[in-house]
Amino acid sequence: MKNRKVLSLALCTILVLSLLTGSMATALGDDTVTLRFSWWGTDARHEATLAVIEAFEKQNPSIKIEAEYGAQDGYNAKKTTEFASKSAPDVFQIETGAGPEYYRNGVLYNLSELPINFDKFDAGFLQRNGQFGTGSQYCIPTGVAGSALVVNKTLADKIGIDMTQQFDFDQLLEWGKQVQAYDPECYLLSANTSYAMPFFVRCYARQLNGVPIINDAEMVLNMTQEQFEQCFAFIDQLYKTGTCAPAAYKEPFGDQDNNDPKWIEGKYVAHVGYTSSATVVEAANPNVEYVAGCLPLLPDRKSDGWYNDCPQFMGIYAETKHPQEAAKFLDFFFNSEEAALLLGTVRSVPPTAMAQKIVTDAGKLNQLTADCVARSLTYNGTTDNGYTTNSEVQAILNDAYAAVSFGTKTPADAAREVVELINDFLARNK
Amino acid sequence: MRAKSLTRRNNAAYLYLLPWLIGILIFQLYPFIISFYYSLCDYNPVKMPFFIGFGNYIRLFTKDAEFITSLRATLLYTVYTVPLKLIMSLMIAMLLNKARKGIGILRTLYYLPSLFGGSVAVAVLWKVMFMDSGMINGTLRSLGLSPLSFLGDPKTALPTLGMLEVWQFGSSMVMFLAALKQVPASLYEAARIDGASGPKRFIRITLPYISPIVFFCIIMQTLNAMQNFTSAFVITRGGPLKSTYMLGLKLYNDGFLYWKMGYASATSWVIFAIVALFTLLLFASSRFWVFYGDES
Repeated sequence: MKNRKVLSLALCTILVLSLLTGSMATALGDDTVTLRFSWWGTDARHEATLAVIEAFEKQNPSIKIEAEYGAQDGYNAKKTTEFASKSAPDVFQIETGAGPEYYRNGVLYNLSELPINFDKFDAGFLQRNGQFGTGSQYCIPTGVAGSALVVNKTLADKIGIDMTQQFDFDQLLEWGKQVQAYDPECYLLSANTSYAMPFFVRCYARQLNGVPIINDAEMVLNMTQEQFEQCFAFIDQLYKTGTCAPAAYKEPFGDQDNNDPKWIEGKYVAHVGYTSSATVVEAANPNVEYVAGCLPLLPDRKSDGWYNDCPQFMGIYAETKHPQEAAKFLDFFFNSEEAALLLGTVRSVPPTAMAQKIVTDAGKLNQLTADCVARSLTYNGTTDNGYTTNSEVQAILNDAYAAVSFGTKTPADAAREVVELINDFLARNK
Repeated sequence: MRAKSLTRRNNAAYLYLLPWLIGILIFQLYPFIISFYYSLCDYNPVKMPFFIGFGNYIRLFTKDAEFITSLRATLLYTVYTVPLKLIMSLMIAMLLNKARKGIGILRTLYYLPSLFGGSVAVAVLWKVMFMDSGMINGTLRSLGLSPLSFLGDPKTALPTLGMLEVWQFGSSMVMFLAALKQVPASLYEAARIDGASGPKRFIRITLPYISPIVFFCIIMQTLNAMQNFTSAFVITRGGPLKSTYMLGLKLYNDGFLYWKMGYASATSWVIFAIVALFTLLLFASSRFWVFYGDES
């Protein structure tokens, strides 16, 4: 019994001593600041970003960066739980559509108050991307990107279709029929709901009205029910004419068109997507020649609708304990030549002229991506980031697009439902 | 003196139980109670909850068509999977209940799918298998049959997810196997002498004997099915056309994507109420069909 008491006392003493020595070491000597940085992406992006972190830590030995990275699946949901528990990373990558929501919920640090040099950025580009109408920078655009039609020129030439000359939406339907007549196994467009909805609904809306679907200031719809019906009637035709591959066929691939065997076999004339997805679909079937296609326009449009923005944002968490150090890291990430060279085009074409020159000189700029970006720069549309890109509104529009593309709802029914649901959303968020 | 010693022993027991009690209180009881409070609030996770009474529940049942779609998908999924899974596991258990050479290996093999549980990797494997270019359609093609759009057609997507659930029959199978071992061989012997046929022996002897296990499995498998999330999230994302949009996935989207934590909490309480009601009904009916050994 006595022995057990002695043993217990000794163990307790060891435990207390080890705790004391540990905390004293932290209190006395260690000034290292540890930042957490999270992002999503592919292996290439992970490797490049980790290399930038290493380079930054070499220059700033007193700052350590813990990398938290993975795939995009569940990224936003994870952020929500981190915001709720006030444990979000100090620095994090942000989906462009989620940016305005994060700003409204107060989870983003005002970067204009921090020592980050924005001189290398185009002022207009910064204003359109990450300021959310405030005049202060809350997010930094990670690159230059936009919608894109990646055209399989080899197949297009065989059928006699030239998508590099400007065309209108109705022309797509004519070409769609032409492709089906050439080979019923081939389709003009490889379109998944996630990419095609912004392409054929949000952009169509911007062309019709010159403004986004939702008026953020007044919290009302800019689009009328008739306009939605017109838009959905066009989408209905895309599927009925066989311009787009059947929705049921595309559904299991999600937004991974590069996994679609028909794409790999070269049975689509064009991929509906983004400049940032150009290299992915190009790599899936390298046996054909690709070019950047023009983007469709309405003849009596109020704006081109198509615009150039960014693939993601970077931001600093509003509750971070180390805003100065986080700012130092982002300053290095966007302004250092070393970082620009390491990052290359892993987040699309870089956002500054300096970084663009570095990656071009180093031969790291993918020509197809550059061509797609250059093509999207020729249009005069403006971003619709705001309530239009809110995740709940996106889900409403995606559901309507899917219902029309599967043929389970008429364009009129889909339009009526979308107006009802978005109005309900706006009423709840006023 | 003896009372004092007992008290000391009790205190020691409570001390040993303390970590478990603290765990239950913090990680189960507190979230359980607070989620009910949140279900009565308009609660954006980065803001303070705002009490709105039964507003979320009223909205769920009167304005949210998606909830009804989701409820329908979840109930259909439960109705598809629970009976099939139980029948399948009982059949396999009966086959494996016979003494044969290598029966241990066979039992292990049949249990293997359940070891993977509702894992993401198995869900991904299922998705790949049932895609247009997957193994199942490849087999259909090689047999000269037309491929099916298992995951792209709203009519087949839910049964395809159901097949994954049914495939993981191992845990029920092991329980049935244990229950079958308890059925006295003398009863079968006597029934055989009396001329009872195989199906009659199964209905009159086997089923009543294993009915407590059937009862337990029905409850557990219903709980599992009603809370399905992984396969719907990984394989179909709730599509196509919301045909696999289970309640678990809906509450995840509402809470974590649309920042409506109060609304998601209300959905979770509705799931709880449905499962509780079902369990109560099952318990109420059990006296008519579940037979325990100690009953006369």
